[in-house]
Formats: sequence, structure tokens, C-alpha cells
Amino acid sequence: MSTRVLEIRKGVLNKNDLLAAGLRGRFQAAGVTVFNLVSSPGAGKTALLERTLRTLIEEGRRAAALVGDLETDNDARRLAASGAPVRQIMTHGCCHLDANMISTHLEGWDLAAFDVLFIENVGNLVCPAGYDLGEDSRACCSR
Amino acid sequence: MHELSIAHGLVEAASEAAREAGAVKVNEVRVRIGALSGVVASALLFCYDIAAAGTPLQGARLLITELPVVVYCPHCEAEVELPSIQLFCCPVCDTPAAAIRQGREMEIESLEIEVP
Repeated sequence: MSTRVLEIRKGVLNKNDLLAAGLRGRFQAAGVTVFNLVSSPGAGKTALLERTLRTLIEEGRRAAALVGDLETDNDARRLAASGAPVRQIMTHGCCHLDANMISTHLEGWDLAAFDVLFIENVGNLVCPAGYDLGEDSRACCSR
Repeated sequence: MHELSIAHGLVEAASEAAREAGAVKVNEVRVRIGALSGVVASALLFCYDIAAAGTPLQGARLLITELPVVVYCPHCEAEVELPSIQLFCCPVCDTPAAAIRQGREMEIESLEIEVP
């Protein structure tokens, strides 16, 4: 038996980063622009998206949303009233979305059918900052 | 809550590396955490034992090196260390400096393992 030191130099979130890079490739190939919407709780992410989705759909743009929350599908139901395809991601207590949650919730969706995809993160300005979701831009909502 | 999922990611990545290297035991894990990573060392240490239980990392020491923020100051033409994460100005000449050169790290540096 011998002891040795193994150099790793790998990001702790390497797995998430790899998955996010894969998602980014899929989004680009499908020609969909993706926004990751973050804010503290209650800042108005859902209200902003409600209005934005409605306007985009009225203008004939193909917009969709994934919406993260700890529990309940209240937000998805609110956003679905816009007519846009919306899916709820329930994290069951997890304080952020990660790339794997995005990947599993995209199943069955034809990304090429969307011009823009919004991902509403869990209301929290700490943890979501560490997790790449493959988005083009991260937008922070405040009031 | 956040540190627990970070700890799980850390344990998963380190266990995989240990397995690939044919380790029978892991004695020590060294990680580097930047001041801007959003990870609190004490909280990570607290969660680590829970995350490591039942994995090849169970019982392995976790050593955390905390890295301060280093920015490039365009006026001094040098990399300077910031005393806090509150103010992105050069501590020498007070020039605003936002080019981050260090501080976002959240990485596994090395593992000390036992091999047959």
C-alpha cells in the first residue's frame, strides 16, 4: 500500500458546467435565445414574465418558459395564461436550478419551435449565481 | 442548503477521480474556494461529512484554501488583492478595477489517496 497525491484541478461544479455547455450547444443549434431570470424572492420575476410572455405571444413571437419554484405549480399556471408553452420545475426545497433540471424538463419540447426561452430561477440571489444553465444571458430583476 | 449541494458535487467529482486512480482509501481532499464563489468554508465543512457518508470519501479530511479577490488595476498595471468583496477599487491608487483575476474559484485541487 502506498500513499500518493492526485492532482485534480477540476471545478466542483464541473458536472453542471459540462451539462450546461451541452445545453448551450443545443440552444444555439435550435436558434433559441435563452434568458435565466434571477432575483430575490418577491421582486417580480413572475409578474415581469407574465407581461413579457403575453406581449411576445401577441406579437406572434414564439416564446416559452421554464419556471422554477420550491413547491407548487402556481407560477406555471399564472404564466400559461399568456398562451406560451410553460413548464414548472419543482425543486422540492433545493434553492437553485441546475443544468440537469433544465435538461430533464426540456424533454419532448422541440426547441427549434421557439425563438426565445425564459428560465425563471428560484427566488434567491446567492445560490443560482453558481449554476450555469446554458443560457445566453442572465437577467436580474429588482424593484 | 446551498453548501450541501456543493458538498455533494465535490464528493461526487472526488469519488470519481479516486475510483479512476484505483484508490482504496482517500485520506485528504484539498479544495480552493474564492471569496466570490458564494461558498462559506465553515458551512461547506459542516455539510461535507454528511455528503461524504457512505462514499469513498467517508473519513477523508477536507482542507479548504480560501482565496481572496485579485483584480488587475489598469493604473498600477499590476494585479492587486482586494481587502474585501465590497469595493472593486485598487487598494493602492483607488482606481476602479473590475477585471477579476482570482476569487471565483470553486475547485478540487488534489486528493491524497492510498493505492495498492
